[in-house]
Amino acid sequence: MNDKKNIDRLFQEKFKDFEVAPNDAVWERISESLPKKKKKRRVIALWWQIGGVAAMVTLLLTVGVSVFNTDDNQKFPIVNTENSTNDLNNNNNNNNNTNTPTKKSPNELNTVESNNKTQIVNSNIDSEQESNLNDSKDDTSQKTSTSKQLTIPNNYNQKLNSVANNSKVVKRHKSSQKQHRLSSNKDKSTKIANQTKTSNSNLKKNDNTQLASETEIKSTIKEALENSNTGIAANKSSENTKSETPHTDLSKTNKPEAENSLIEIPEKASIEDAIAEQNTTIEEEEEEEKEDDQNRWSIAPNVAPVYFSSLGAGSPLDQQFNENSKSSDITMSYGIAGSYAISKKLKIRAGVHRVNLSQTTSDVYAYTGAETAARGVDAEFSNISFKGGEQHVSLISSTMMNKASTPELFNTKIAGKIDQKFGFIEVPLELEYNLLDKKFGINVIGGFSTFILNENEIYADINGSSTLIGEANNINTTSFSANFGLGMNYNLSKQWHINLEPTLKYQINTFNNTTGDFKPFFIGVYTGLSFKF
Amino acid sequence: MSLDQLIKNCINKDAQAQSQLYKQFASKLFSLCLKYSKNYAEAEDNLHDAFITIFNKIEQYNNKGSFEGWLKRIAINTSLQRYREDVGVYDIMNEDNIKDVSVDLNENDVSINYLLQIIQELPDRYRLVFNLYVLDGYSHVEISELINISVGTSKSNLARARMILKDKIEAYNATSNSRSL
Repeated sequence: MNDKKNIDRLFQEKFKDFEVAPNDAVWERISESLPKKKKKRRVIALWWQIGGVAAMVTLLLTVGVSVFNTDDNQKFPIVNTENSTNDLNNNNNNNNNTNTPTKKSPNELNTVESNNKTQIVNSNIDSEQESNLNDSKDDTSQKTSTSKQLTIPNNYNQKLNSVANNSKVVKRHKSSQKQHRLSSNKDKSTKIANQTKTSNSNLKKNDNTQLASETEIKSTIKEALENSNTGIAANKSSENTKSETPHTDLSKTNKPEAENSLIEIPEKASIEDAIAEQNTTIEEEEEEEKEDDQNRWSIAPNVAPVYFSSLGAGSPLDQQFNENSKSSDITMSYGIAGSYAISKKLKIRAGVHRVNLSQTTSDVYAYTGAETAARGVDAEFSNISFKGGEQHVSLISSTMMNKASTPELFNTKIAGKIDQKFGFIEVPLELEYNLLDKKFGINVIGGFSTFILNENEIYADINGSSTLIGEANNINTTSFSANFGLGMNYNLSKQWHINLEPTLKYQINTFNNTTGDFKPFFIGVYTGLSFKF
Repeated sequence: MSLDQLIKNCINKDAQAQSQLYKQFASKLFSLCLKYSKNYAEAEDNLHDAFITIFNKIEQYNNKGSFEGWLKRIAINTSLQRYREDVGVYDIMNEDNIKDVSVDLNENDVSINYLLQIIQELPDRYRLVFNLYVLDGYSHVEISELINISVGTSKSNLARARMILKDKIEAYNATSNSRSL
């Protein structure tokens, strides 16, 4: 079988029908590398992106609002828990008030402050004290230790042993109460009179046992404690001999008023500090994030010639002017806008602009004073507030008059015009999507503006001279517009860009009580120089 | 779909046509790439590059000669491209030594995979010359132009390649015979 074969023939025969299917991954790589037509999908993607950004803005707003609301809510629960835990403080302090009323206040502050510190940190735990046995125990033990540390130096300094020990006793009492939670909590909420009795009895027992167990406490403090115990015992006996009702009154009335005021002030301040700290840390984080991506921010002062007009035939002034020809001067809007690049394609931007608009209604006769009265013209213009001294101005559209039937006087007069001028502070909030991002860029802009009215004047031609006759009373002080624009920009350098943005702003509720089909809008060609940083 | 229509659709960058063309010719071209490459991964890379060239230049196919031949030339050229830049130095064999190399073997015993393996193991230029001349029918003149060597070098490289392959096949037979014994 062993034929001597030419090696060429061997290979030729063997490789004649040699085929090996390549791995599928090869085709995947090839098809990825090939250019494809994907125009339709791109449009969809664009809308998805815009929609996504809109959803994100909404989400941020709702989150922001809810965060602010919860901040307010958080303050109250903490105060409440504080009150409930301090109920006992008050009771005992009230007891001791009878002994040392003048010396009480500084120590009470100390205890309150110490409580606040621990409770703010563990605010959640505190609010759930009653439900979580273990947490509350730990919590109270922490509290007692911290309050001890805080109050002990005061004791030495002020030598108010009895009062200082009161605070400690209170703490002990609290911890004991938490250990005997079931019974004492009920007592706390329902029967204050009974509670003071039982708690006082608890006080003695628990203080003694805990003192015995805690070896760390110094002998001087022990002595002081004993003194205080005896003092309290004395108090109790004296109070008990009196009656229970005044005692409960004391605890009820003094507690919420005097204590709460003391508690709330430092607490709120400290909460605000904590929030401020959190905010600063968050801001720091944000700043770090921003540093990662350079040139996300830009600021652009801009100026725009603005042309005001209306879609329908109508008048913001009065029904009789609906058909009059109206024109608008080109006025100027100027302001400054800042933008933040969310992605390479998308920017969110806001700004402040001053915008002045005007509209001139032609073919109007204006009369003043006696002329009006003599003519008996109805001078009721509900949309115009005439300024003082000019009440007798009357405006009549020439379209209302029939030349044949009107008095001679009208026909001899030359029809004048009404100039309505109004200005706003505009705060736009817009999204900008890049269609082309080269040396020359094109983008589409959409968004809305808030307008705050700051100028409102109506002039009329009276006897040939333009006179201020009053102001329109149907322009809302706050109004909105929907904005659509096409932006073009030219990059002078990496940081400087020239912008040109023809923008249409469709005003939504600028006028209250317009007549006819008056749909105002204005067009501005916003030109500016933006600086990226 | 006829081949002509398929080519037209590929000219229009129709993704489905491109996929079909690939399926139709990938196996043939991949076997070609395997022969001209050092290893499997390199063959895959060459196949990838070859098809990118094919799809980008398919409008240049002018119906002269077979389409498959056109595709194969592209695949071979793509494979050769890799070796045009740095072709190592090979000693030129004396032409007197060039003769028909015969090998004593049982052809059924030699697997195609082994033959492919020993081709791939050849020094780069020996492999190219052997493939071009023996398996794909190029003349020494064409080879000399394709890979920029002299005709003499081409002949010399071919003889060297044959010798190496013969030795390896005989060694293979020896081991398989000893195994069968």
